[in-house]
Amino acid sequence: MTEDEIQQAIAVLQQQQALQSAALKAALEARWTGEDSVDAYVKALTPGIDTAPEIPLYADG
Amino acid sequence: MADGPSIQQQLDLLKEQQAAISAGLNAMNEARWLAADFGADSLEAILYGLNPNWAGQISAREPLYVRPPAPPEANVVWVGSPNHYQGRAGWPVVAIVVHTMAGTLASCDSWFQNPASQVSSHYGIGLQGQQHQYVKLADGSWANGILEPGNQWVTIVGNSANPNYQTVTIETEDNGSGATAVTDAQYAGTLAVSRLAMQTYPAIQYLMSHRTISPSSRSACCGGRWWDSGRFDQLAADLGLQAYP
Repeated sequence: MTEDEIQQAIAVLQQQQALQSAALKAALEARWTGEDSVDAYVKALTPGIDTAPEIPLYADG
Repeated sequence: MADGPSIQQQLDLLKEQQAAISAGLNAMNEARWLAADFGADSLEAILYGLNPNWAGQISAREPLYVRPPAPPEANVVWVGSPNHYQGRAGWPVVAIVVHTMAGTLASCDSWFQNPASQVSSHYGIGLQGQQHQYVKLADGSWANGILEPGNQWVTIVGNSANPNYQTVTIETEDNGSGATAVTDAQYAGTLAVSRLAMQTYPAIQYLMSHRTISPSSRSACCGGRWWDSGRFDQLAADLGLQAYP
């Protein structure tokens, strides 16, 4: 593996981690579906994935 | 040599961040959401560690791993009544009409079983949530067939045919007093049989009071116990129907 290839792989991993972190932030802010949501980030991480999100309840509605 | 971090440094950072992401997933899995509750082990704190730029920008909400109570189950006891139409004369069923009994469930059972009374409803719901059925849904009950002057029915539904053909009717026990509150059990029972009716007749759009049809003789039906308490509007909201109290 060349250094350029390693750098490209690292860049992909960094992008994936950014998406994972954003998904966790969306979860903490209770955005489960729609734009900027857990579901949206899961789909961005795994293109073509078929999801069926179930929205939890919240103490404050 | 490049000025940026070395490959090894970048890989070490990725490992560290991946470990934090895994810890965040586990915090979520264990419902450790808020820093105020779980400190550094919370998802909130872990996220601030992952991205310090998020400090002060996360609007955390604490989800609950508690499922909502199951919707009330219909548990209908067939009582029967001779007072009803055979079928619905070809009319679609478009409304549920709520009534108040001005009596007890037992008296309602008796009255509807008496051919001389010439009245009935599809359901009667007791204050303890009992669900009695007097008329099959496929048949029109004799509960609210008189279109009185000033009625809203014609405007809402668009015809002046007998509403008994076009409605599912629900009497609710009040022990003879309009001051008797609709209990949680009675509300749940009413909701349950309404859902049954809507499963049978998906064209149902409206939740009405009897007074919508008979504003003179039934001006107090189904009464403040439904209207003023907010139960009527709540029932319409829970059913997704347009409310005409």
